[in-house]
Amino acid sequence: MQLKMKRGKLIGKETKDILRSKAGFILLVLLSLLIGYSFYMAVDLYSKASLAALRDPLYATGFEPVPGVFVPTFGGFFVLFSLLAPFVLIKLITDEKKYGTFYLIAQYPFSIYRVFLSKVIAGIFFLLVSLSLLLPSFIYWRFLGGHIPDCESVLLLMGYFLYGLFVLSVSLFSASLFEESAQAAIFSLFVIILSWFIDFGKDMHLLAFLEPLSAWSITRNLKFFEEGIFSLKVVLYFLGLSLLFTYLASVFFDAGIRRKSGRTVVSLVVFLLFMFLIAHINYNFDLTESHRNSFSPAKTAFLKKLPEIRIKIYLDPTDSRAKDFENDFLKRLRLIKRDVKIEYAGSKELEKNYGFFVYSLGHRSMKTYSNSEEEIFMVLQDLSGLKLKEDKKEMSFRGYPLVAKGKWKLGVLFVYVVLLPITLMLVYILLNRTRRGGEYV
Amino acid sequence: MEYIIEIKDIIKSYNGIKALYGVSTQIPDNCITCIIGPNGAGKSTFLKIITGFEFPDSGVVFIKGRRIESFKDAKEFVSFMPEKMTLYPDYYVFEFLSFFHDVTGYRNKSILEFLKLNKIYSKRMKELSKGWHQRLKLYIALAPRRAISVLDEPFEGFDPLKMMEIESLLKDEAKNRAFVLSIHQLNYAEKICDRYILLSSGRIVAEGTLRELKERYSPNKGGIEDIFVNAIKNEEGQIDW
Repeated sequence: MQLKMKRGKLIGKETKDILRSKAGFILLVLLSLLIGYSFYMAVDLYSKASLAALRDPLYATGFEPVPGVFVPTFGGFFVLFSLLAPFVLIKLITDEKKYGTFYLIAQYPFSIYRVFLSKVIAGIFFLLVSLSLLLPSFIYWRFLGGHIPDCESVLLLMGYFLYGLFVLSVSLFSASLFEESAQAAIFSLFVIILSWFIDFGKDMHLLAFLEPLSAWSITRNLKFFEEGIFSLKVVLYFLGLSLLFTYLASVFFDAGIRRKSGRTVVSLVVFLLFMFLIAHINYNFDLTESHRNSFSPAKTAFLKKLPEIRIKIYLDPTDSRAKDFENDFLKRLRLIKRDVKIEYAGSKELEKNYGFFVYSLGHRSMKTYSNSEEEIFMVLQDLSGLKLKEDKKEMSFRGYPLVAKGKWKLGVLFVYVVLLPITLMLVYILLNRTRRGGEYV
Repeated sequence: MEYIIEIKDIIKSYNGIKALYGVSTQIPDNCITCIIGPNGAGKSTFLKIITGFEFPDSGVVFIKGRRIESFKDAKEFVSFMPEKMTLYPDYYVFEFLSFFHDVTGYRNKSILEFLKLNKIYSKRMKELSKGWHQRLKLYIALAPRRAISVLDEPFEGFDPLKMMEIESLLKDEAKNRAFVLSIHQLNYAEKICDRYILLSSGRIVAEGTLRELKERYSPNKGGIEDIFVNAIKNEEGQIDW
């Protein structure tokens, strides 16, 4: 048998093992139930709110299926996969340690890294199976007459795939590091929860020192995908982080490898260098149909003509006005002006000028208290001497309100509580039912 | 005598505790060499260093004259049967063997038949007795025709009758390869081993053939147990574990 086919057999075994494990099966069934519940709640809310939107075209423009239905549905996946998947994924390695089957590697005709790679591939396959449980929600939404924005939906799936890779790599790393599966699972959860913590921690005044780190929080970066923004930096960050943990997992997986701590330090230094490099990448694209993350065409054209914009904010970063400014104006500005410089005033400067925003273009600066979009554009016009053209008063995006009719709730119940769990159970039984062997030589 | 393994000044410690202290020896080809010693003597560490699963803090291992610097180097020559290995409990035997044959490409029909593994094909691993499980582990280590087979406690779970069968199998296989065995049943060792390495507290206290060891440590013609006890006695005549 050719080496390629032998590798295929090994990958096949690892994949089969994880899919036919009780833990894997239970997780997939739970995912099905929770995704179903999240989808049901999201559609119900969207549908009720749509009743008013059908009478008011302006209100209807705020109805978009991805933030309205699919992001909450994916929320169910996020919680369960983050907290339970490590228990399944670590088994790829901890079972080998527990049973001592790791030593079978001595008889395999390929390197220890090939064996490790087969486990990574099996983990990715499990992730894809888990993600596939989200697909019926898209089909069902279409069946209800809902609209599916292609790019935005693909971006959302891609974001969760990248997040899944992060969970997988952390799980493999923990499993390689610890002998006991309980320790490995707890460590995985610790790392995953820590990645969330740095985001919410900075919102507390006492933990404001976490602010610089929070830009790298996993939850904050996942929001880019949920908001329909393709950010090259975020994609590279997820890939880099997953690669780092996967590499470290491979180092600690290899019992015979020497200089583990040296390799760990080198890989961390390389990763920090990588982070430094990608921090300067600012290629973001608004993939939403409504362009909700972008300014109007006239404002976009105006901003593109401006030189480098510098903004100094005299607010505490945790102030709600600062957050509104970040989430509303700056987020959109960064999509157009990649070179925009934002600076938060230090605590000494804050005392006298608290609440102001200072805009600078070249050598000219202007101070304003307002953070409204119209006011900011007036300031920028004054600073640049350029005139902002009037936007055409036509509404290009009309929104997708949808009132679900008929017995749709029963349908969701049937798909996610009956059909999917039964299908999963059949697959589980089939994978575990092996023909009784007769003569085999 | 042609030596297939050469070990020079191996030192290995775990968390500052030394498991092997400057071990040097040579292991001949086409020969069954047994590593014997009390618990904690460093037998398993010694075997893991030969198989490349562990690396010494200092010292070198040569196999067929080639310096072993990685697991990859070692596995070219060595197959391994660890003491503590429970083969995938939920697998059927035939399912596991099918996977093993497909992935490794090593299918040894004669050993398979000799070990009568066809009798347990349709059983799940977790249903096997210790003896059958041990046979399966032995097959996995012997199926690849490597230059050296390292077997850690291969006779656990075998009754005397089965022991005799396994003994003949190993002796037959030793015509084409070298065996390094860790064994604590000294009466079995006496029947099967051509050469002995006696380890105690991480040091080689004696080595050689049974005749050589008897001449040196047991002039009263006692068995390997007497040799072992005499070898590890210190100058005051106390047993130094």
